[in-house]
Parts: sequence; structure tokens; C-alpha cells
Amino acid sequence: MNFEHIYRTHHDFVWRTLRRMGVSERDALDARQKVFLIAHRSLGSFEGRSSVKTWLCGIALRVASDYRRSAVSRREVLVAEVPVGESCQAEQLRQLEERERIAALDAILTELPVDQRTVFVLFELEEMSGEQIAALLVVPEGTVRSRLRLARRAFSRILAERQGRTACLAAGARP
Amino acid sequence: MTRESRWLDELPLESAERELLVAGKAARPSGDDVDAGWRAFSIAASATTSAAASAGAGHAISAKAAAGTAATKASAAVLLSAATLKSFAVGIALGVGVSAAGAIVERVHPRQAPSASVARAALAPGARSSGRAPRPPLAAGDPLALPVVPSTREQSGTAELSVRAAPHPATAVASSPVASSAPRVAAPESASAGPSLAAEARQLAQVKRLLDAGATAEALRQLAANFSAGEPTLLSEERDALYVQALTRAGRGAEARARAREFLSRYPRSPYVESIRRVGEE
Repeated sequence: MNFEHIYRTHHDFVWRTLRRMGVSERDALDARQKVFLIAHRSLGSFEGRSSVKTWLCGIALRVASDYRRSAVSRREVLVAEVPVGESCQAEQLRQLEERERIAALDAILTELPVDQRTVFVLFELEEMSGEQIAALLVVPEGTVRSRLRLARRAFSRILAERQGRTACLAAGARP
Repeated sequence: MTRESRWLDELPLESAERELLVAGKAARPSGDDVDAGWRAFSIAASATTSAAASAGAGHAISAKAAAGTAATKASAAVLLSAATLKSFAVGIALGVGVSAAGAIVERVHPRQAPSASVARAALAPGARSSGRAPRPPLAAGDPLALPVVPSTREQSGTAELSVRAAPHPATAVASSPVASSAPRVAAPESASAGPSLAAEARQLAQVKRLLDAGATAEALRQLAANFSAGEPTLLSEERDALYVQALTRAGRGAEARARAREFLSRYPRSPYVESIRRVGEE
């Protein structure tokens, strides 16, 4: 098995999974490195019963779980990250909106219970199948479906609450 | 919900949920360079697997990764071999500002292609010249008796490529007859004498590459493993500046500030003072 091919094929997927499962942007590249190092070390024990993507996903979920439990996620930010490049104003605006959407998505995902969040991220964002997720989490497919249903409902509710708060703030700010 | 239908297929086009999902699916790390990431990974994997391999505990890792490991060692052997080094210069330039980027430039004889490729790979993209003052030549007692010159690229007579353009170490070394015939890694230096200039430069270049590739944790691990903080060495100023940079990137603010203050008192005339001072004042 060519590990470079594995790395190049799945590096974005691993990064996204880590990010959506709570790893901060500044730590996500390090965490991704960790995932691939673990995968590299345990390549010999990979039996091919699941796809490489599912296998990497399992490692990424564990790394993200450790990360959330550690104090790392509460690190102070010493230097603010600023966008680099000399893009035009429209492009900057687009990037800003994109970052806002991602921030909103992460804020909502953070409020979901971890089991619902995991299923939601893997099914809705990474397009894994219910069967793959069930095998990965060692739960029946029915459980995956019910968690997904709950997650969607909670997602819409939290989003509506956020929008309501934003509308109230905007109304209050008007003269 | 139906068995496998995605929410995105069911949501109205104008829904806020859809917007967020689309953004989440399209998200990519900004400024991520997969080639640099893979190189950093190869270095880290090489470091973590070499011990296991030497203990006979190696398992079925990919041929490519194994080649990367071997290549890294071979590169080190080539770089450390005095026979292949006709001239050698080292410098580090820390950039100013958020990135505080640095570069280690290892200049080698142009005829030694593998060494040159290794040296070029050590160059950091976008690193700015620090304009630092020239260092004095090495003391005559240095085993390699190699001159150390400032890192300003104008002084280099050899072509210097960015790390993006550098070939993968595996291909660079594997294709070279010099690499295959290169002597094994030089004998370890005595602990009291500290690492040689070449070894220290190589280690710092590796740390820099890791930092550039975003592998901060591994960079810090290598700094801690290979260097004793505060120990005066030929490149201790560069090492300590990299330490501050790595701690900053790792979000270890208190440690970074403490190291920055230490740095400023130890090297008040350093060309890195400006960027380090900013960290110290945070």
C-alpha cells in the first residue's frame, strides 16, 4: 500500500473531520500530522476490512476526542491569524463570509452531543454511508439514523436561536 | 428521512442550513501545501519509525515511506560527509511579523547534486532576508573548519530554490549514485563538544521545514530532543529564535514570552530582536 497516495488522497478529509470535530484551526495541521503518523505506524495492522477512509476517520475521531479533552483547546491565542495575500475587496469579502459560515457551523456543531455531532459530520459533510458509520462506531445502523435525525433537528433549532439572537442584537442597535 | 438521503438534497435552496453545510463540505486548510505537508510527514515518520526499525520491529510500511526514511538518512550522510563538502555556509533569517519565518541556507559544492538538493530543500518559502551582520569565521579548532557567512542570498554563488520547487528527498537521493555510495552517518560527536556545525544546521533546517509545514508539535519535539536549551552552540542564537517561534505557533504563550525575554537578554544585538521583542511584549 502506497502511503504517499493515502496521504495525498485523504489529507483534506482528515483535516476537515478534525476541524468539524472540534480541533481549532491553528492546531488542525498538527493534529492531521498526528493522524497520519498513527496510521503509518499501524498500517501493518490494517486488515482492509473497512475502507482506508473509514480507517483514517476512526483515528481522526480519536485524535479529536483527545484534543477536546485536553487543555489544548483552551490555549490562549498569542498572535492573531490574519489573512495573507493581496486579494481584491470582493474576494476578501467572500473569504470573510466563508469564514463566518464556517465559524457558525462549528459553533452549532459544538453544541451538539458528541455522538450526534460525529454522525452528522460523517454523514452530511463527509458523505459516508450509514453502514460505514455504523461499522466505525460499532453501533447498529438504526442508531446512526436516529442520531442523525436528532442531530438535524438540534442543528436547525440551534441555528434558529442564533439567528434570533442576531436579529435581536441588530434591532437593539438601531437608533 | 430516507435511508441514505443527505440533508443537503432535502433542504430548500435558500435555507441557512444549506449554506452552512455547503461551506463545511468545501472547507480546506488555508495555505496548505500538500507537497510540503507530505515532506514534513516523511521526516516525522522517519524519526518515529527509525528506532522501531533498528529494533527489528518494523512492519509493512509503504515502500515510498520506507524510501523516504532511507533517503533522509542517506541525505544526512551525504551532508555530513566532509569529503563531499567543498564549501558550506549556514544562515538563518527570521521573517518579521506574524509568521516570523526563518530560513536555513546550506550551500554546498554545485557538483554534489544530492547535497545541493538537500540544501535547497532547507530553504523556507517566503523567508525574508534579515540583513544580519556577518558572523565571524569559525575558530580554527572546528573539526570541519568551515566558514560561516551571513544568510543574505545575494552572497550565494549557487542557485537557491524554494522548498516548493525542491524534489522529494526520496527521489532526490535515490536517483543519485553519490547517495548510494555515500559513507554512513558520521560518528557521533562527543557530548561535551556539542553537535558539529553541519549536524546542527541540518537539525535546525529540519525543524524549520516542520514549522513551515505546520508540524509545530514535531518541530518542538525535535528541538527538545536535539538541543539543550541555553547550551551555547555554534547556532544557538538561531536555535533559540526558532524555539520562540515554535512555542508561539503552538499557542504556548507564557513559555514563548519567557523564552523571548531570555533571548533578548542573551542576544541583545541579534537581527531577530525586533520579531522576538514583539513576542516578549505580548
